[in-house]
Amino acid sequence: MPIAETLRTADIHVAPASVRLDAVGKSFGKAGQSVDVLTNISLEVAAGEVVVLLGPSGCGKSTLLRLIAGLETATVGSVTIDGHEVTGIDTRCGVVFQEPRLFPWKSIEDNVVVGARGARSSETVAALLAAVGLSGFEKHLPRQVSGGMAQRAALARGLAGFPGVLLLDEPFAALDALTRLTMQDLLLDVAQETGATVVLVTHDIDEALHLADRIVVLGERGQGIAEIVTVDHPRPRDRSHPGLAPLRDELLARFGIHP
Amino acid sequence: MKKVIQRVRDFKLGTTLMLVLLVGIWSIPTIGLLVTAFRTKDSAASSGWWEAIFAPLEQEWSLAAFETVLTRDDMFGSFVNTLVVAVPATVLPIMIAAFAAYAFTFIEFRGREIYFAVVVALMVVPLQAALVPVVRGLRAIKEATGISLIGSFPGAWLMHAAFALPLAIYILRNYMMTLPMALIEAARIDGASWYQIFWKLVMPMSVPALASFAIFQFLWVWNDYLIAFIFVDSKPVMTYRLLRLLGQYGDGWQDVAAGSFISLIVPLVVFFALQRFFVRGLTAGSVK
Ligand SMILES: Nc1ncnc2c1ncn2[C@@H]1O[C@H](COP(=O)(O)OP(=O)(O)O)[C@@H](O)[C@H]1O
Ligand SMILES: [Mg+2]
Repeated sequence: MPIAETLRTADIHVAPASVRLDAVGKSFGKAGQSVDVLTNISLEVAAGEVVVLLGPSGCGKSTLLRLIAGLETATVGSVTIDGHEVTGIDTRCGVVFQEPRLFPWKSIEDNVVVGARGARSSETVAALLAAVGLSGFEKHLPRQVSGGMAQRAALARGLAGFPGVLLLDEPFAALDALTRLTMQDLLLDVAQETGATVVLVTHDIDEALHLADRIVVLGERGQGIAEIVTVDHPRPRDRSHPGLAPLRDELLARFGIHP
Repeated sequence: MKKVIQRVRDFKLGTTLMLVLLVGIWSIPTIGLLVTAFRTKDSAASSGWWEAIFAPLEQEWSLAAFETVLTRDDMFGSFVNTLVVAVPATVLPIMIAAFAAYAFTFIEFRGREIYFAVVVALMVVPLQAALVPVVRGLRAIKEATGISLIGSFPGAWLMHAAFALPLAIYILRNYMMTLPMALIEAARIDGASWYQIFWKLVMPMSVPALASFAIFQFLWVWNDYLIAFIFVDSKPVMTYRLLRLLGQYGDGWQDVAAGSFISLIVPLVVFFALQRFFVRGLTAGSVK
């Protein structure tokens, strides 16, 4: 049974949540010799919207996600989810980290159960494991599966809590090209079915074009948002749709590649 | 086969000879005790134990010494007393130190560095120096409240725990600093409370450090004489008994040897059962 149907049967809905960043800045290091990683970031993500962050490495994409999740505190400005300011670690957010971060002594399945926060049925966990292609590996320990499988397990764990805001940091980077496409569609299915707000970081322009309602392009470290591109194509999207080509060229040009 | 070749290649004559020599020197007293414990009073008095090793058939061997210390000196009762002192005196400081080290490592609160510095500084206070003031304090408490900690097992537990805490907190915190913060973050995001993170993540991951400190503390308490003598003199522990046996040379060395051997059993078992933690744990967290 496809994941969307399982979710419909299980009647899972999340409290839709908007995310708002107000002139957010973040510096690291001691006063005097601190480095401004993010400056003057203002962004509103509507409830249920999919926003993709794109930018050169080291520009602060992960830091931005951590600020929304409450894993870091903004040096200036404020982060609000659904009108409430984020002060500490915020459990309205689910995070899929850049690394799998599975608990090494727990099985793949138990790791996903941890992400489910105890509230969800075992059917949902099983459906998620099937959806990420890990049926049959439930009882394996993280070190017994490949890097890509671990990353998919981490994705399942992030999804299993059905958080209002899903934050994903290059979640598909370690996957082979084909699996990556499947996982992208899985993410869209879950987001659509549950109404979750998604903020995703990627390096892959095609991935951004396939997933995003809006693409936020960050400049070099400390330079803030360079550009916001709206991707106004109906879903499900055809990856090779000619209408996407001008956007792709525009984005490639931003990163200095001229087709 | 490969392993064997590797072993042969790694073999270093000098190192091996040195190790054998050291092990030999360190084992001599223990072997002496063991041999003496099985001799009779007369033969123990008339010849050295090494002579007995070289001429085992001309000797009289017996279990009489064990029988004597177990019946006349109630070594078994003392064995139980020592156990009753040592187990809580090991568990108690480890529990408290684990909580403290956890807070010092992962929870931010005002004055954290200062508190930690004070705790570490307390390591230099020797037990012997603090003993008299502490006993006076406990007397005062008894006069004020009627609660007597002197002459009781809980008093000994508290003393051992208190003096073990600074080192325990220090070792455990150093170890916990090396635990992967990323996993703790992930658990926090998944909604785990500080309490759950402690029990489900930090404690299981700290097993090597916990185990090595447990062995260390257990052996220390097991061999302690001073605190047991002051706090539980009415329930004599084994070290206390052995000292008294030493005073009875007239009864022969074999009794002391047998008593010592009985008191050695538990440390040996503990050490061999947990030695893999001992080697790994004490160095883990201490080297960067
Ligand atoms: N905890 C931290 N302490 C100091 N510097 C940090 C910390 N986290 C990130 N940085 C710095 O912030 C910059 C952006 O990091 P990051 O957000 O991980 O970039 P990205 O995910 O876009 O590649 C980097 O230069 C990094 O060195
Ligand atoms: Mg990153």
